[in-house]
Amino acid sequence: MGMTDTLLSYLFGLYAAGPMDQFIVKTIIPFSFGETDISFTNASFWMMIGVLTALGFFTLATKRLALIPGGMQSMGEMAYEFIANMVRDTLGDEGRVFFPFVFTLFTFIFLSNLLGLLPAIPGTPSAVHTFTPTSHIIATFTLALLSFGLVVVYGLFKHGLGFLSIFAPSGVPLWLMPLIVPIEIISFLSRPVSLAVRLFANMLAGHVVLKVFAGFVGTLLTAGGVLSVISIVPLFGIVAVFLLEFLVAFLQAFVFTILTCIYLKDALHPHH
Amino acid sequence: MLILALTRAWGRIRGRGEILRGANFIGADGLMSDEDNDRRSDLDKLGERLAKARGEETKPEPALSPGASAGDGLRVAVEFVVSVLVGTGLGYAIGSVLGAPIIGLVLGMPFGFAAGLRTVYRGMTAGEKGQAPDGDD
Repeated sequence: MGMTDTLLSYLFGLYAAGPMDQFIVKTIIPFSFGETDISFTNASFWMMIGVLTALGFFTLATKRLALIPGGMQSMGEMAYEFIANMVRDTLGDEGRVFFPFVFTLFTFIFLSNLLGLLPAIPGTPSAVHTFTPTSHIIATFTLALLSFGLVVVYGLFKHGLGFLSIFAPSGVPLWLMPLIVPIEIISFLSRPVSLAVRLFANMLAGHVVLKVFAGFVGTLLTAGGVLSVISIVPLFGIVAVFLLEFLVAFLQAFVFTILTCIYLKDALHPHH
Repeated sequence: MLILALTRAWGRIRGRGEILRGANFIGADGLMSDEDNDRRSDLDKLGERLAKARGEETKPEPALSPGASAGDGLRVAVEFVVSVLVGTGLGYAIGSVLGAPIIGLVLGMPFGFAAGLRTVYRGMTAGEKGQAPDGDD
């Protein structure tokens, strides 16, 4: 058994890693700004890879525009149309100003989610192993605050104090207002938090499940006898969960962006 | 299923492609080489296959898959819990400023609960009316 363990850890350098190790932020190039640590970490690294992938993809997709779009071009067009339709359906023509923001947001979240599913290259230092930036609540909360901030700033900019009427739904009797207004304010303030928590929890849970299943395979394989044979079951489980994670990667990016659109609608039309 | 969906999306883009051609999206740089007979016939064949796939696609679809319902439930649960927490936290914060954090917390929690119910109710009714699936506006 000891030998099998060694063999496994030799074959898969990651064997010893626990299910939560994949979320550890590791410094690649240390920097500090006064007291603040602003090091270039594996999170920054994978965000950068996401941005560069998006840049590379859309550069290639728009490079040779053909009458009959090729593979790259149609994928680019698909992404564009998808977000353009979403913005048009929820925000109407006025919402066009938000398209670049929403598109960037979607691309970044989707690629962060998707690239996080790549397997780590065996033998590379753990600091460059695959990392999902969106599995950290600080990253998703920053994104959520960005869209929430845009709603507040644009709403106040466009409607002035009239924007505050979103806290007073029409048709509510005046005596109920002291009750309704705080409820509406809490409901409004919980939006960025639920945006952030939803994305982060989905990504975290998916990756933990993958790693736990992978742990089952290793443990069963080394247990010997019938148990070694059973190890095929969690292996298929990994395949299934992995496929599901592709769906989740897309779906969570979609949910995040469509909710952003719905919230932006409040900034455009605060009166219900 | 996924393949069908992709085929459909690709078909939609081809449809849009014609609109794009009308606008000046495609430069006259010689890349419009689809006058080639082989490619034309390939395209026609593809068109036929797409039409067939689309025809199959319009057959009845299950209204709600268990996975989608579970996703909805999870979404609603997150929204509800977050609302309660935000209400409680806000009450605590306001209470701290006024010098009575615990009273603020106790008063904030029911408001958070109410806000959570309101968010959930809105999300669910918006879905019923066939609006955007996540309409908790």
